[in-house]
Amino acid sequence: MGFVGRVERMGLTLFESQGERMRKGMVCIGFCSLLWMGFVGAAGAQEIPPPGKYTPKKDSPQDIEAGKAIYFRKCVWCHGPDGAGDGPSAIRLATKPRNFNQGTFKIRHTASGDLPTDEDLFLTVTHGLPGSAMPPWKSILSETERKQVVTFVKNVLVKDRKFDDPDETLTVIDYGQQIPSSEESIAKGKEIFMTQAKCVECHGVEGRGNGNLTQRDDWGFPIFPADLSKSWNFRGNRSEPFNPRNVFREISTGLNGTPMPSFADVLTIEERWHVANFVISLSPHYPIDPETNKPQIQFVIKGKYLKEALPTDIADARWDALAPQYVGMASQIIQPPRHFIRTIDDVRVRSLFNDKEIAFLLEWNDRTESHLDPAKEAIYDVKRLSSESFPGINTTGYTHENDEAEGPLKGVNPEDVGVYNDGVAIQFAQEWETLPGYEKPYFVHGDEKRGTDIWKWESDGTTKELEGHGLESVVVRDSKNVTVSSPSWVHGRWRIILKRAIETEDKAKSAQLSVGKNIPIVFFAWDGDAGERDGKMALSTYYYLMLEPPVPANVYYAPPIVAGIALLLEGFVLYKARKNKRQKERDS
Amino acid sequence: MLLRRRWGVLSFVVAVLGLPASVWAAGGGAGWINAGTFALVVALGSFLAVIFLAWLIKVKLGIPLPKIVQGPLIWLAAYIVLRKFLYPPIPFTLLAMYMGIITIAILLYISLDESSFDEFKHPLSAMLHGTRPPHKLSRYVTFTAVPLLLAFGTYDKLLPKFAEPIELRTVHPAPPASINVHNKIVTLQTAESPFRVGEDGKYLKVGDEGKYHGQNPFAENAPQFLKNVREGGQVFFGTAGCFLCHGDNLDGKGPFAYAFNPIPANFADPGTIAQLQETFVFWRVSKGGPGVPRETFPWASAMPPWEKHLTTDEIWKVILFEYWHTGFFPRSWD
Repeated sequence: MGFVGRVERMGLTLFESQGERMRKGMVCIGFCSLLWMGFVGAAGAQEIPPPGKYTPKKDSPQDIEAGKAIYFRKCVWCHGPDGAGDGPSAIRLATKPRNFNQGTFKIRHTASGDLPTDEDLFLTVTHGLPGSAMPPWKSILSETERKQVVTFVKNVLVKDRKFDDPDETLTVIDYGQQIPSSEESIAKGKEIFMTQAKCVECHGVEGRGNGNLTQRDDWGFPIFPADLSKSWNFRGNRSEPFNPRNVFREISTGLNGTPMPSFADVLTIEERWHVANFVISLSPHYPIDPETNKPQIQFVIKGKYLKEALPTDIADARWDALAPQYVGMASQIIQPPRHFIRTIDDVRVRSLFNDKEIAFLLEWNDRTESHLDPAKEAIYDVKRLSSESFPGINTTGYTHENDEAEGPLKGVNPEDVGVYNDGVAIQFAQEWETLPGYEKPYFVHGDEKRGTDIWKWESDGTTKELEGHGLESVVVRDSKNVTVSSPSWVHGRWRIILKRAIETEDKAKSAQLSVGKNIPIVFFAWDGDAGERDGKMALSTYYYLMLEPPVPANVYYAPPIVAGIALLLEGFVLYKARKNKRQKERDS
Repeated sequence: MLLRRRWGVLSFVVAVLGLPASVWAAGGGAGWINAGTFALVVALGSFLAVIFLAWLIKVKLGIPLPKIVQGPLIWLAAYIVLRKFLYPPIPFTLLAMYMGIITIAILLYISLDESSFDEFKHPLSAMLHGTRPPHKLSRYVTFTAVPLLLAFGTYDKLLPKFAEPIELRTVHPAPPASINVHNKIVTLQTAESPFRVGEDGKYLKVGDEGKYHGQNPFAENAPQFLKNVREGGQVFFGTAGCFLCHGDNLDGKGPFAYAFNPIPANFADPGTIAQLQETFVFWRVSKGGPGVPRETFPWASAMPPWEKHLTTDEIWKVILFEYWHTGFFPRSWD
């Protein structure tokens, strides 16, 4: 179910408790919108200025003043009072808020190094920058307000350059003739990606962004190459994750302020279209949820039945028959040690079972293969990413963690030392079948009353079964029910198979699985190069595991019976009708 | 003709006003209307809407549709409206009820008089005992299609599908009378935000702070109220990091929101904080997900109990900030 579905469910309950007034209003709006349906056209398409020289608009002082009021209400919290990207949120983010002062903008239609067009800035405010904290403002600010706030940024916050400076020449790129995606075009694009354009050096062989990880942006912040296999996270995707035009634009303009150069002089327009088509082909075409601009989430993880022994090899073709299900992952920011910058934002899950066992194939992208080593410098070291290292933007004086906050948990976060193990875990509820209603243990490793059964694998090769009664009380159980086979990290992706018997001996401590039931399940993942261990982790919400029972036989024999009965009835009706007709004819 | 037009205009007016009004009344179960009256209103509204649609098709669009086509067409139109255009979606039982009433209205419309019913019946009997080739063809098609459709329906019904179970969660649970935060008892009925103060340092009545909505909290000479807002914003975006779930624009779609279920509250929506007392929000913020009653699913909520991370003052300030940022006012007790 997607994000809207999750909202709809809230709507249903709202209807039963509060918000009746709102609902009634909505009903009326629904009807009115029906009446107007015929008159309202589709929303305006993207406005892109023609290629060539571009002259920025002259902005009126009234618009700039109105934009200022909006800025200080909505934008200042990330971008800072002077537009230097030093708002209070800067300490919590790894892609730091934009510093406007230099006039350096990533997503543009203009040549490398140029200022952006008015339309570019407007579209960024409208659609946001997916994969970062910049949200789409189209539902919050009106079109006029969005245009006004852009004028304030252009005229007041960009300080080092001036949009009306005659020396500033803006050149809009030429899309030329778009080459539609085809196997041939993708193959050509791949060839250019791997050799001529050397994209592979930063973005990696499979495009998962695991190439050069030691680069910095213009402001000195560490910056990592984009993971090209998740196009829904492309900053410039403008709410169209699978549109190669966005990739073409980025290849052509480069991303100002970052190591991503423009390829306009290196590749022809045709070659850039091939590369764009190849890049888009790297992302699986999940249905996208328009509310979140991420793959739509299905909350039931499907386990498929196999008669024979379960595959323990990742390359086994029987895995390929299953679609990897997308599980969204967030940082554990709830309890200490709070963790704000998780690098794993999804895990893909497949599951097979037979009469005795169940197996999960888990896959997740991780730019670094990490193994415990206190002496090694971590790639994503939070200190390196945090504002502590950049006093210039740390105007609030807070450190990366909440150590300096005034609350009761002041100072509880342990210091990171070097690199930790990568890892992954699946959590079930102990004795879940006996819990009343929808009740479950607290999703972060359980609570005092209700325990959890956690199967955890770490990159040092250990597999543990843990009993959790909350984050602060997780103990290793002495049992060896779970086995792990063929864990491998290749080109920025971990893949691993976890296996266990469906039913085990210790019925109280380890979760007993069963066919045809909604079994509550939660996923966790750790990136050892991001300081993640124990409670510092990425986590999902509750999902359900459904071991799909074999299709019952009546599915196959009932429909013909129904059809047969229908035929008999039809024959009867026809017979009756004919008889009536003959009767009538005889009567007349 | 004149009569017909008058009918059309009249039914248009009633359809536009009557049907939404009846659905509205149904949705809220409003107190002023009893069940019988309500059913009557819905039935009348639907009936007139049906006549209006029929009139629209026949007279206005000039399409001489036979009754046997009109009926299902109107039924389908009504279904689409009820299913797709109502937001939030109506429960299935309600939908079934409306569709039942609409079906009756259509049958009434078809059997208004003898000729109308004959017109409806004619294609059916032609299909059953017509002798011309088109009649025969339609008979064969119908008599093959019906069993096949039924068989498919049975198959579809029996084939196990594993949809997510529907779990109805109470979004705004009833608050406790009082809570203990940092060893202080806060009585929700009487507590006031200590930071909702005007220039004179006195408590601002709810609504009076509207004058601060358009002002700059980062201005050097900002009044005390705005300084409090500013500190609340620093908690929201800095110390606590609320924006990671609730969004930089407070619309509940922050960078981590997609991963959670239930989804983070959307403060920009008029159905959340704008409908709640400030002390209710104080309760939800300080006790978080684990502090809600069972019917709100405390085990699934990612909302931290902020009393463990923030001081009481920080919690009040972040609430002040949320109202200021969205431009809403908390509900007052009177």
